[in-house]
Amino acid sequence: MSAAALIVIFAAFGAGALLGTRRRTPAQPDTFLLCAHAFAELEQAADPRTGVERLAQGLTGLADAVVVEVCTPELPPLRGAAHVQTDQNMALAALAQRAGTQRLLPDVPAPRTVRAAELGNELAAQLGAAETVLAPVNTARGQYGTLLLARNAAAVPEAVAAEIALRIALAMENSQLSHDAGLAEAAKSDFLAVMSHELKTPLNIVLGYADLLSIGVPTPLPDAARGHLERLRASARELLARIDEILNFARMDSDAAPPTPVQVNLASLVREIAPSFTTAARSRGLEIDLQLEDDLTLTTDHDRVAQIVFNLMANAIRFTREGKVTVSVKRADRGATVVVRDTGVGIAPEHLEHVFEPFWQVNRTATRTVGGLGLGLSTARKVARSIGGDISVSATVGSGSTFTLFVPERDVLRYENRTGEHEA
Amino acid sequence: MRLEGVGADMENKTVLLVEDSPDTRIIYSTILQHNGYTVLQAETGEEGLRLAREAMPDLILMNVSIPLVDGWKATALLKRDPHTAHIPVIAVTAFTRKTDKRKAREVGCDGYIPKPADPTRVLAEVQRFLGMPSMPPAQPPLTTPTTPLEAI
Repeated sequence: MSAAALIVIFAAFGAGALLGTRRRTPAQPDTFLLCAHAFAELEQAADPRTGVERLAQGLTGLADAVVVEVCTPELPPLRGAAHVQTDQNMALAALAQRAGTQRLLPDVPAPRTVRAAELGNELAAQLGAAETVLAPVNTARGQYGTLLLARNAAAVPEAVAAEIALRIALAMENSQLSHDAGLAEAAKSDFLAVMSHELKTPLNIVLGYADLLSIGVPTPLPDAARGHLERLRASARELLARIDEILNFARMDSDAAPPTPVQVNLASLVREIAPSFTTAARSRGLEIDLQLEDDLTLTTDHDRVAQIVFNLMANAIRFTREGKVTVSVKRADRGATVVVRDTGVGIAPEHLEHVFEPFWQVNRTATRTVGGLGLGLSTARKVARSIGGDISVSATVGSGSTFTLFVPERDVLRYENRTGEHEA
Repeated sequence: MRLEGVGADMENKTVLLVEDSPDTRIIYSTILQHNGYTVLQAETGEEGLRLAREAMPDLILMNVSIPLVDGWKATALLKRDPHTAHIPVIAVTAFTRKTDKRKAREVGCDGYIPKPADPTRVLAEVQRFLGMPSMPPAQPPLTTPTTPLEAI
């Protein structure tokens, strides 16, 4: 959690020192350090249950006995219980385990100090004659449960208990939010991937039969019918391209697979891709100009670089009505660049930063005439970053845009580090 | 054994199409038959293996994602069998990553066509291996570029 949160705790301990200096100064640095370690345990745990258990153990330097009870709507209460004395520790942990769905601690609206005996249950006997502080584990969003800190010598200041309880509540909230967000993200990606596949399969069948008719199988069509057929094929291909765009975008979110580095000759890679655009370019009278350094080979993920180059070329051709699209491959410091330059509509300076946002288009009317979903560049940049590279753009309205992909020579360490931080 | 050829010319080269999608079978077999090849069809890897051994086709078009015995496994089995090892196998697959091309080579595929493959591409690949059929088709030969496996 942030530095700001730590400062809040310091402040809270400071206040505790002022208000609660009864027999002992509670805001000693070791108290702070101890809490910091316990919070770190809570936040770094693989799941909330482990986090709560470790937090309780971590706080046994502050209190003789610690019980955290957190309720979630669908699960039995999560509990962490710990005692400074080993035998008591075991008994307390066993009790926490045994309690099942029964609450051990009452909900409290605000921190309060009570004698353990007042709890009036099995737990009270376990804690003995300790001075006990109860604090609500809650945030503005709701009540999660209760924290108990028991100490024989003197009660833990209520402000300290309140601060610890708040940290637990925030951790619960974070864990719930990130769990929900993760589920939503995964569901979205799965949905898009399944939908795209379900749409592509029949569409490819449509294209297959149309291809047969187009080459005169089983029998040549009259010229007028051929005209209709070619329009049908063009639209089907356009639809297929848009589905692919969605599929690739969805895949970037769900595919956390690390890059597969292989030897890649960038000139050959571009030559493999360029023919995909021959038909589209020819139909608009565009020239595709390849300026390639032939002996440029580096270690990177072939398929990802191919996807980026494909998206950049598709974008260039889509937004260029006359002139040419130039693809050049050049060596660069610790890598190479693939530059895709077009003589198209260009991009206004205020829009440059937005072109990599998903579904973004310069304006809706332009979209109508040009088509596309606005996912290609967003996907391209995400893919570029997944292999340690990036894409930059420069453009002039009316005279064209230049997209520069930097592909780094694979750096083994960097690749390994990146696999863990895929979203970054 | 289902023989669906054009004409009765026994010189016609035979292609075994192993593919589970009925539409894809119709599309590919139509263009191949139209161009003078005899086409045998199998829906599963198992049926494909049986037909390959019985009919000894001149070439096999093998979809990789097929039921029972998948295309990789079927190809590996055919290539291990001295009776069928010589039959060229072309993998037709939606798996287009580099690793899958490597897999195609490992199991012994002689060619590789990424899916979705338009019918002319499939025809061109078959023609590359078998040459023009003995009974020339009405259409001129189609020259769509193909991907020889060696170049991958």
